[in-house]
Amino acid sequence: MTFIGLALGVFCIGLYGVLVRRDTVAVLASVEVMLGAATVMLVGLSATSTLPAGGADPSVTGAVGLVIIVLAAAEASIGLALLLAVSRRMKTARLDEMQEVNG
Amino acid sequence: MADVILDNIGLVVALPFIIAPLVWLAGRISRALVPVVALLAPLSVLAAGVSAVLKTGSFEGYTGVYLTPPVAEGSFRWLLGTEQAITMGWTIDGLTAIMLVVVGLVASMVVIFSIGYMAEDSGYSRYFALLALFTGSMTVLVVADGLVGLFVGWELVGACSYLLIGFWYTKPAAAAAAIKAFITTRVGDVGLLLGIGVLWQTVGRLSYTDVFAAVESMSPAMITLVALLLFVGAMGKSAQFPLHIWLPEAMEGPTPVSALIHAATMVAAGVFLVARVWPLFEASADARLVVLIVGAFTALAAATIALAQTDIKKVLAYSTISQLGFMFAALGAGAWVAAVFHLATHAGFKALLFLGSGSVIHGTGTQDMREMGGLRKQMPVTAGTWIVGSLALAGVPLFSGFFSKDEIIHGVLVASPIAGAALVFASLLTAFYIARATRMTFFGEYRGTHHPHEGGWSMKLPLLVLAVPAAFAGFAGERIAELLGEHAEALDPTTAAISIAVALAGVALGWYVYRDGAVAESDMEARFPRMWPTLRAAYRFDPAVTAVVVRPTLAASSWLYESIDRGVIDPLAEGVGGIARRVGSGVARVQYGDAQWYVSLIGAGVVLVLAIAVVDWATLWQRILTIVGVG
Repeated sequence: MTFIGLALGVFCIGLYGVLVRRDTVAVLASVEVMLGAATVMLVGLSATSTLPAGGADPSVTGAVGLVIIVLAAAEASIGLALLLAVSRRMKTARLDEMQEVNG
Repeated sequence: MADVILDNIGLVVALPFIIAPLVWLAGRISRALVPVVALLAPLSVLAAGVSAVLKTGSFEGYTGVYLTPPVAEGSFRWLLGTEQAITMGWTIDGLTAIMLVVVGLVASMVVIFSIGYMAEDSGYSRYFALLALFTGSMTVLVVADGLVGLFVGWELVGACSYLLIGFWYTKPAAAAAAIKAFITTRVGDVGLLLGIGVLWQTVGRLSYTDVFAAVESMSPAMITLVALLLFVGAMGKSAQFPLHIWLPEAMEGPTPVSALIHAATMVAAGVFLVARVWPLFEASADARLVVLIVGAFTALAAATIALAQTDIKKVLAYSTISQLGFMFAALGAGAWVAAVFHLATHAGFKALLFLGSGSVIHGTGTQDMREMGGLRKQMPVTAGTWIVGSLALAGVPLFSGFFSKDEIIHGVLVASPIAGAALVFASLLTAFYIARATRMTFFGEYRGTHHPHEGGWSMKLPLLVLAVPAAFAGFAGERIAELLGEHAEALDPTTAAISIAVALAGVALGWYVYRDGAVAESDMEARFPRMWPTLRAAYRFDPAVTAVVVRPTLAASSWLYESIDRGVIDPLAEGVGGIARRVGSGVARVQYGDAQWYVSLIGAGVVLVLAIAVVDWATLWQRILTIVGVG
């Protein structure tokens, strides 16, 4: 069950990056790290699952892990494209400077 | 035909309410279309009334609670889903049939008359839409099979009355008169509502059938209480002393409206109410005594006031109050068939007189009779029909008012000679003031500066049509008595002799005194320097009411406003609002647009939820205690 600890650690690292980094590209990379943690969890579960009959099919959870990898690639390209557009418009790539709402 | 109409009586009741907005829409297409559409409403009511009169069978052998076997009945359940759903419905018996004919006929004539009278008015379609709405409301009032439906109609006619008195709402006097009428009748309505509430409490049901069936098991005190509370409502609507003050001012509305609402139909609703719930009054002699006193007093007092009025509409307004007093006196004396008979004949001739006065006002541009005179030459149709109406009002033999008033006086004389004497004297005054008005308006020389002229056909036709019942409705007495489930009484020769003598004496006296028209009026002012102005000012009752009731009420409400509203309620309401605003601006500071701050909050929230839902705090606490060594 060590993979759970691994996934948890990777997730927290990603979350930490999302929360503290001011550079938008770095935040996006941290999101990817979090997605990686989710993938580790899925793959690990599919390998060690001892669910009784009627539970989730292990091969299906493994396949979902593969889907996430593909999605993450697509998401990264869209995210970077959006980021490019936003940074051109706002003339900055720093997240804390991209504010239009004032509470 | 009659069967078809009576089978679909629900539709007839609904029709005016559908027509009213259509009238308004018709005004956007063509002005000429407006009265045509509006006329459908009263005509359908008239058709229903005539059908009902034709179909109503004999009361012989009928044992139900109604006067005659109902010719149409129906009901539906209202306020479903409440603990006690109310059944509302309609029942048409003889009394309702009479009312439907009266309402339909007068309303039709008023709509036709208004085509000419209101021709120039900018609120043309609004006016006719309101007339249609009023017709429907009055129909609801009379066909209701219980007090709930009656109350709905009662309030609807009150609202229509308000809207039509204040029709020229840019005129301050009209707006004030509308409010006064609404509030004064509302004082009476509180009594009506309380009466209905007491019945609801004791009987549990409000349809006439159930109420009448329960009369036997109710205590006499309770019956008197209910009857008197209902009578307070009738006093407000029918302008009986001391709630009569609104009716003279209601004359600020267009004159055809005065004819329809404030002479023939709505003000008679009080008489209708007492006649409708007659079993209650029959069971309570005390309540009848109150009705008799109020009616006789109002009949006499209002007749004296009418003597000295110079405004032609005010004469008719006080005359209406007085005649309604006659009807209530009859009800109080137990002669309720005579009361309903007089209601029907009075509706005819008083509507005729009001429309005649409208024609005169239209032709001369004034309401002051001192500026009229000699109009019979320029306005022969108006003069002729007016004279028919005034003979009926004076109670000259063979005209309609004679028969009904004679029955009333006979009934009241039998019950109470004092009240009867008051009514006989009031009849004398009635004949006097209407002879005075006739002579000042239509005879002598013209004293005004206008060029008086007769209105168009639309104004002449209704006068001619209404002159027929004003002259001959008295001969329908037998049929009306039958419709009310009684045999007609033969004319009592003594009473008839008294009535005839009084009517002729009054007419002759008025005719003689006012031979010089307006000169006679200033002569009367000189001869009775104290009494005449007092009468003209209606005994200065209005200022007294203002001083005793209105001012204290206003003072009390402005005190309440200053101390309670401004002092307590406002700070409370504003305090609650202030708290919400402060909390809001505090919380809003969290959302300052930093996406990472939002994510941090979400993360903290997730951790919190997990901490609450997943961790078994009780076991954890036990373990900690064990480790520490306390457990």
